[in-house]
Amino acid sequence: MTSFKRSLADSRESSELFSKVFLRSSKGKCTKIVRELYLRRDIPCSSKLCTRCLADIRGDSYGRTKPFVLSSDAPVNDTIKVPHYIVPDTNVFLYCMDALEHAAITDVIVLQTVLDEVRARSLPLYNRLRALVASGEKRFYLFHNEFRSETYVRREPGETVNDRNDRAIRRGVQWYHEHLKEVTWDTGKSITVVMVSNDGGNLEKGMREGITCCNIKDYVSGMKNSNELLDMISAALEDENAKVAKGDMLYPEYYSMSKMMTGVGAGTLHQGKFNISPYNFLEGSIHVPSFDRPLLILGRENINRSVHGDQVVVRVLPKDQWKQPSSKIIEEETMTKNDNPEPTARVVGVIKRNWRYYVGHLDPSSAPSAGGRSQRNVFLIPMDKKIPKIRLRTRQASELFGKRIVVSIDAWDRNSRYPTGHFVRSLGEVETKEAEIEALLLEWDVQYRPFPKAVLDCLPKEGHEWRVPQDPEDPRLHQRVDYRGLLVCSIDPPGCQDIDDALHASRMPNGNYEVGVHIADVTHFVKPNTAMDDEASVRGTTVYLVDKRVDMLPMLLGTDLCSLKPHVERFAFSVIWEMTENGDVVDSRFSKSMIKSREAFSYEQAQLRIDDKSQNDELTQGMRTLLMLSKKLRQKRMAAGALNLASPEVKIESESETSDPIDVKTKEMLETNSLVEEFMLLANISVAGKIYEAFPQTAMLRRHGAPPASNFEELQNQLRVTRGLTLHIDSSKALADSLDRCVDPSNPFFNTLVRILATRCMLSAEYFCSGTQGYPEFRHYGLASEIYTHFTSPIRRYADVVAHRQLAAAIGYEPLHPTLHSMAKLEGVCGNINNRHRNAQMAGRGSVEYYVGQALRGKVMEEEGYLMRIFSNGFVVFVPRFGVEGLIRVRDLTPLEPKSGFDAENYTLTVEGSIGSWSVGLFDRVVVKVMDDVEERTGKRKIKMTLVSVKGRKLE
Amino acid sequence: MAPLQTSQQTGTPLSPAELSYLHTSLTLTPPIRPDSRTPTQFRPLVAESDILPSTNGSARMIWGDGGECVVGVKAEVERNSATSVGPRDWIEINVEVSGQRDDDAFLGMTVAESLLVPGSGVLERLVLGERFHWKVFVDILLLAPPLSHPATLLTLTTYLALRNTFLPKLISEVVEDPVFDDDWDNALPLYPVGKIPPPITLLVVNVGENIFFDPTREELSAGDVVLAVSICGKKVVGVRTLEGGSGGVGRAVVKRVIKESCEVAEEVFSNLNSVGEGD
Repeated sequence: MTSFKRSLADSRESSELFSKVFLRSSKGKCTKIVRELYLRRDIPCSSKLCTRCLADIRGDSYGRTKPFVLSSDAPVNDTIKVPHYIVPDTNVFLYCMDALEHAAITDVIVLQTVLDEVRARSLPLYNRLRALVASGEKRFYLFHNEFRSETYVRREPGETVNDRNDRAIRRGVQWYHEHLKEVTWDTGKSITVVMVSNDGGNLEKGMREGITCCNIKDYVSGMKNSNELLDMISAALEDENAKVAKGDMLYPEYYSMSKMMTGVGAGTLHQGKFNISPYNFLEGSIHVPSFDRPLLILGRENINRSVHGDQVVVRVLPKDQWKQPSSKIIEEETMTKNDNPEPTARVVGVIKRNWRYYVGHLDPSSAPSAGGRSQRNVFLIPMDKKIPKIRLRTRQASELFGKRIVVSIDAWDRNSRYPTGHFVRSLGEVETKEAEIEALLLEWDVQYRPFPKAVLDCLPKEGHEWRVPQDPEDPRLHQRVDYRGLLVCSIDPPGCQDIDDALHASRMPNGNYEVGVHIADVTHFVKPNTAMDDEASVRGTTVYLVDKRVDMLPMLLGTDLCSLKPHVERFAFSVIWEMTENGDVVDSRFSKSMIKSREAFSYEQAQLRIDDKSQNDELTQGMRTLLMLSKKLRQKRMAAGALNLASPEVKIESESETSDPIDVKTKEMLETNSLVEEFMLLANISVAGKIYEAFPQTAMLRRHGAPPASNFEELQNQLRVTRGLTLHIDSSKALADSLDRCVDPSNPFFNTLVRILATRCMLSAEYFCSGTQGYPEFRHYGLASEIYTHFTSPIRRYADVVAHRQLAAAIGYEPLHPTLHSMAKLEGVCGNINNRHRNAQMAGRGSVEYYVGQALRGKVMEEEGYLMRIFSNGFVVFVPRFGVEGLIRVRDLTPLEPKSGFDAENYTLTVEGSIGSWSVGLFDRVVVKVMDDVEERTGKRKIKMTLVSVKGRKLE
Repeated sequence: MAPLQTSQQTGTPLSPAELSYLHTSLTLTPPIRPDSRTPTQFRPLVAESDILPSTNGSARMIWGDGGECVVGVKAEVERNSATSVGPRDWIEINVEVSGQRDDDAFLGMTVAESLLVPGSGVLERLVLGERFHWKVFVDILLLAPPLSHPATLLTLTTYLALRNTFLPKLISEVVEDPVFDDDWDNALPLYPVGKIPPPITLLVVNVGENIFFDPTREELSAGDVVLAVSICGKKVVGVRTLEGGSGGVGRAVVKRVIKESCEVAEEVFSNLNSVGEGD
């Protein structure tokens, strides 16, 4: 009989084939997994000193081989005084990744065993490790020890996986060491291979087996920048003994993972994302599917070491412990809504930490009395108020005070009130521009590092010399229409370098107008599934700060090859309409094209040119046509119920030399702004219809949901009580019309104020994939359009890149890349760009806030403001000139808190002041003194206001 | 099922003269079997266990006449359901005969019934905490239809597979969803040594005063009564008449059958238990 079984004896002899068996249990299922391993002997050690591996190496199926990585001139330091490579174990990667990323550490062998363990423990760290290996700069080499027959180890009976892996690591180190000894004996050079670990047991076993081992701390201590490197090592690697010694358990223990999963499955526990209230750091909330209201989590013990953003599991507390949200300001808001106590809950475990890097500054109260090198505990106050203080141990305390620093949280033990973390790097002095801007970018997770080499490799080889091909036979001109003869121009903000769009208009023989919008043809350069495309899709959007732009695409494309610069031929994606004089679209055409822009105007220049009666050339005529048509389009849009909600934008005037902010102004809106806007909207709508028609399931669209009526209740009530006005919210048209009627003859700013408040009641617009929503849900509420997408700014938005590819496929220019057929993929892209878009806005606002603070630094100004919200103990004043709002508390009005009465029905607050009794109501005009102030908690310079006069009556 | 169809009623492979000759030689004292085996001797067979790496337990056995049987045992975690008939559902047996249209309910039942003998303790070992249990699927594949009745082959292979079946070790608490030890080497046997082993069913044919174990097809057709004897541990847990026995079975015969079955089974068990130890 021939046996089915693969005899073990065979595999022992050849030692080329092994099978390993293990069990995987997940979601209550248990699977037995059998893996067969084919071991080989030709996996290279990748040391440049090794000639044997070089001779053995066989290439891949194309015969390509990878160059060897590890240097022949290996590093030496004070701890390991001979040339050496290091092999860190898994814990070192898990807890000291920041230190390993430091440029000082080079020539590292990453064992496959270690890499697999890192992947199982933390995907982000795994990706960072892969990036380190891929970059090649620091000579990290991934050695597949599990596939090399000499370094493969079998799990012994009764051995835990961890022990087996530790043994595999030691075996790998041993083999490397012997291998390098053998191959270098006649060269006179020698290389030691050092295992770097933190695990005492592993180090001891290594010593016994004759391996050179070293504790990670000892290792970095021997390096030049040891202080910095030591601080980068995670606090989680601190002595186990020290942890046990401290007694008091401040927090309840977490449930075991299986208990939590059981509870969530059975509905007795609930899982969700933990959020901290921006007003109160001891009040959290969590939204779970089984409750329509978020569950409140009050107090340290119930929050139980969760940090904003974590995926946690909670247990709902008994009904008699349900409460009102605690904060005073919040109380005012909810009072009118309902008086039922909210359900409360306690966190019983964390499914997934969502810790990132946090930026902040050291708590001055934990300042060291004396400087020195010794390690001490300090607290970091994060800029994000929702994050608790983080305890750090540092040797550089005295240098770090007064700096913006980046830290990462390592652990939060039951016996520690605050989480512990470690220093990552310092951004510079608090309030210096560089530090604050970088801090903002980090806080909003904006990718601002230079583009990696792999991305730059995707750029055209010609660089800035790239030209539109002149040979009509060139394949790049296939199906490309030649519009170079058209009188195209672009209109953008002054100083704009990344020109996405250009326009033209001309009269047709039949009396209609031909109008064209030409958009930079980014997808000609950014092909799907390339490193550049991946990078752009991760970045999602270009981020505009006051004086800095963080690009989505490399400069070469954004500001040169794609940018529709004047007097240069460029590739474009054109939308051409035939329009009647009334702005009705008769026909629309889409095509890839080449254009030559005649002029790049700023909004002001364009306005001047149009207004200048002496200019009568064709280009100016075209612009006048565009303006005329844009007004018609705008009228139609407004008639359909589009909302005009633009809140005043602030412009920072800065000194040209130092770019230090000196003044703040609100931006002006010119007719030409809306000229461009109208045609861009029209192009977006046309394209949205076209790609939806071609790809009903996977078109990349943008929607803006109708806000729920409850959002407007408060505002409607306020308007009725204070001004006797009604706000109709049945449709966007009704809202637009009633907003127009919201005027107060004595208060010209009143209308804008109401619009700002109405905007805050709206939902935010979002990208989505057409298959995920029903057609009625596509509607863009603010623009009153049935369907909408983003097409016109592919240089700075990734959604537009996707729309371009889909449109190109819809007109048969090129086949659609498979990734754009997959709804799941597109949903992933939408989720990311929605998120990035929001972050970019927040970062932008943060930078305006910083500059406004800086511009007002040391100045005190009296400005007009309006009451935007009113509470029993204070009110919020909006200052139009700076576009900022500030809270004024009753208790800050006079040194001694004055008596005050609040009439919640009529939104008025009466104060018994030194000049007698005065009252103030919602939307009232006041004069405030605006000055700057450093917020103690975050170290941010912000605006502070004090009241000067109310309705013309001085308070002093 | 080939052997059943060639029973006495449907025609035998032997002529009446041959049948008579065989019958006579089997009634002699000592009897003479056509292949010169002793009455308790089995035909040569080859057995190996653990042949399917991804199952929880498996075995394969080949009879000298070409009959071949492969058994795989898989265990899955299942939630206790309120409506189900209870633990009787927890073991599912499926017999497939190559070349046959459908499985034979009888063969499956033979195994299943004897597996579920009360008090054998198997079902208790399938319990996983308060809300879960293992569901065991025993898949039996008869590759080449044997020329004799397959019951013996089938139960012996099943026995061997079940003896080599392991269940992942539970490491979670009884009230929780089950979580298991990842080391296959730590898995627990479904039938631990010292506990009641899985049952086997032996075919015994009675000819005159003599009884024969592991009868060939010829012997089956010459026999007076064919009995299926289920043995669990050292006890006979069931005796069934398969064929013949028109005149009933003598009490003395049954007594002898039971006595000898126990002895034979003990030998079979000890032989089968040593399978796999050579690895």
